[in-house]
Amino acid sequence: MRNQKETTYIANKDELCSYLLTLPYNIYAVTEKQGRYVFANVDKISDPGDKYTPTLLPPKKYLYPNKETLFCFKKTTEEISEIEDKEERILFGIRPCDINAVNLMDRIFSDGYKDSYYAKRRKNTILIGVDCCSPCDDHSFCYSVGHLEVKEGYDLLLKDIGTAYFILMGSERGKELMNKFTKFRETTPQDLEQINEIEKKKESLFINKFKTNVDNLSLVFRSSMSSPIWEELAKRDLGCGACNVDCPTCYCFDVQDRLEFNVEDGSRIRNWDGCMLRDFTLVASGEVFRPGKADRLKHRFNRKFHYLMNTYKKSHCVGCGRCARDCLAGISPVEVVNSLVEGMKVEAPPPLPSPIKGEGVN
Amino acid sequence: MKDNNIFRPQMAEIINVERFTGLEKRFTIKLKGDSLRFSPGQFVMVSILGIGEAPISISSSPTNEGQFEICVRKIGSVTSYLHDLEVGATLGIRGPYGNGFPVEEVHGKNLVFVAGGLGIIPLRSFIKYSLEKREIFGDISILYGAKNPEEILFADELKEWSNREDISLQLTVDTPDETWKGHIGVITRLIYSAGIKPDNTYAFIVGPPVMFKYVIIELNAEGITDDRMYLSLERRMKCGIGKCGHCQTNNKYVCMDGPVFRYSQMKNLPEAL
Amino acid sequence: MKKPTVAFFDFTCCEGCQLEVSNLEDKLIDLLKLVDIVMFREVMSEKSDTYDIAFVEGSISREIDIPRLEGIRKKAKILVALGSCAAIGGINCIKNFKDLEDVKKIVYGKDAGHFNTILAQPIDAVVKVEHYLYGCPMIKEEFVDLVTSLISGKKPVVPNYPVCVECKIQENICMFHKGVYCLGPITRAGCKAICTTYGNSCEGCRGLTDDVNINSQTDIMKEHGLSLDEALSKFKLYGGYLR
Repeated sequence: MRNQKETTYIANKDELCSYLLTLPYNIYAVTEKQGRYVFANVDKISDPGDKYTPTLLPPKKYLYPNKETLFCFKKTTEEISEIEDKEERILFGIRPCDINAVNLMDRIFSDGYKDSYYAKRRKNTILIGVDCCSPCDDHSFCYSVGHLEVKEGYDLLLKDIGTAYFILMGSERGKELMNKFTKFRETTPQDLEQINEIEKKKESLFINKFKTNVDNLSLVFRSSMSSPIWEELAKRDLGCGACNVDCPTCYCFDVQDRLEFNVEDGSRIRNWDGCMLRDFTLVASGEVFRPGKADRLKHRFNRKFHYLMNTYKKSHCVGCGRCARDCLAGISPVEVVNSLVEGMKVEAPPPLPSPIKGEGVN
Repeated sequence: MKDNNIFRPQMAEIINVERFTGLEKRFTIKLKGDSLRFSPGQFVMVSILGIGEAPISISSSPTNEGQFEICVRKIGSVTSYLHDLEVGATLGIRGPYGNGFPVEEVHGKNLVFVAGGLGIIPLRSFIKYSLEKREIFGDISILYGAKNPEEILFADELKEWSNREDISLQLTVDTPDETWKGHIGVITRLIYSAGIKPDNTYAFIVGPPVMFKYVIIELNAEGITDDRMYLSLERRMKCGIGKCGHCQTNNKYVCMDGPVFRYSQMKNLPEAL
Repeated sequence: MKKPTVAFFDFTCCEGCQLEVSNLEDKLIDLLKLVDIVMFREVMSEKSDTYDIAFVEGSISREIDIPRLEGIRKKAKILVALGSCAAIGGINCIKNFKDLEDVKKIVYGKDAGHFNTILAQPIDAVVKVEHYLYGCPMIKEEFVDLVTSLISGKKPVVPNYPVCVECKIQENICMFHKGVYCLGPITRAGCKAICTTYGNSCEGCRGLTDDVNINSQTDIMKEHGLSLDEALSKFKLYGGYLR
């Protein structure tokens, strides 16, 4: 339950949306596209409704865009000029799963060496979330991975209560937005009761689709390194990389230099890359370090549920279901997790390697 | 961590170029207006504007401040371009990155260096350092295997080392030519005859993936336990700073957690070797 | 530095890829600053017999093509396969699945006896090829990248992943989800998923990636209502040359 002392507001949906459009930001909101949804630049915000399935691409396309220019250069003078993204934007209608994904990406890009490109875009982006009251479709499993609830990362979080939004403020920036907006009222005990009803109803609508608890996932995956399930999945796996592109927490990238036709002006560009693609581990000598589809599947799943989960203590899959929704081979994390859990009885976990980081460093 | 651009290379100048073999060249590099502080076993991202970047091991001793060396085989587009550069040319450097060898941990210990092929390049940085600071280490043995006599790197230096009384150096080649008088065959044969003391000895192994397994078996047989063996791995890297994901091997980033790993801590990682 | 000389040649093809080069328009001026075009039948009448880079369009489908291609290979320092026909055999290879005598009769009727035809093949079935520009037609941006790469010593960017990657980046609805078959999951990207972005399914004109799962692709096409024969006939449109 929320901290009861936290000030919350109620605002009419249309009035809030109209207000946002008056602000000096580019607004990107959830928009329908042939029966699916995308984030797109809009001049009118329409309420996405509760049933919208996660957008085709996650909001990472704004915070960590494909084909980002790291810098431009002149080849002969070796002059380097950095391109700074200056756009100030609002993302409206972002789901809790996607906000949680942004929170995970915030950690990834700021840990150790701080990625100034991501940081700049993140700083310039206001996140206005819309909470989920019921599961969006059968592919999603946010509750199973502990990402249905969002506690931070948003500037405003809206809960749909009919013609109005119940508004939670998650940041100073969110508070400022509300301070400049006059057409809201403070919540009454009746409002809070209505919200509690919705929250209560949610508990019965969202179920754990995994045959284990989220906290056990890293153990499940660690114990399943030699499971035959990986080879079975590999028979179906197209290796098409759609899951990597669609995933709100996949952030691997390639870097390439481009030269203009004058062979003088060029740029260094960062492109999205994916661990499911064969050439991901290709080195100059021609060797591919992870040539098998089974190993690549295992790697991808272990990143989400084991390696990064051990580091950050949170599932790096947020359960948005994009990969399952768009996988032609029908490979779904729910199916993978459950078949591994069922297969676990036959196999003893290997010893856990102790952390190497920090050792051997001088 | 500083808020500056982690992808922007520092400009550096090539101050010496030396051809080693048909395929390898050694470059001495000086950062413009700065010096590179590194430890043996670390690498830099070498950047040629318009061509790209590649991770390359530093092969010189860290004591030679103000400049450093890389030894490069012509294999990809960055390294091919590099091979065409001459003294005075500019290139970009990011780094140094990676953990490097546990130099301080092995003060007072006996050292065995096992290098296969290009593996001599990162090891040379540590070997040079250990020879400069000879008094702080115990016995030093260097075992180096190459495909043929032409592919032996740092040949002049090896000659010098072979004349030293305070270290032992053994070379072997797979395919000898008519002038070759040394050992012939795989590097594991040298281990048996190297007179390695089982106690207080640490081994540093760098070479092609196929070499590791057999060297480890032989060193085990000589009494070197898994926790006293260090390996350096090579992977594809696009950032060098734990972001791009290419070098990740199980749960380790070769660029950040490595490239040097203690064998006892990686032997259960299925993808590592 | 002396500018490299460039020549264009064509074998069995529609010459659409060369047309794409001439369609570079404003960029052609920049191209001419980098290279000397010494032979380009589609845009100029001058001819030269010496050249550094040869762009070869079309597949090899007659006996007499072979010595001509070998001659080009001998003169060129760098040989580039221009477009699907040259790079993967392409659409001409449809005939490889029929009896060649029947093929001649279909095309030339009663004059069939005057013509010679052999199994259609990509140019690298005959000579060594350094670089490939895939696609039907080839992609202009890839041509620009190849030329600048050859001049500067950079490795040209040729994707080895499937069209799905680029299609997802475009946020298209999957063709299969629209009930239409698509070869995107097995076809080499680089086209920015232009066909699927404009509502057509991928026909596989850029050939296969190095890492395809044909069995799974066939199963998925079957699940979406295509018989095995129909699925295979889709593969044959551009992918008829079997290596």
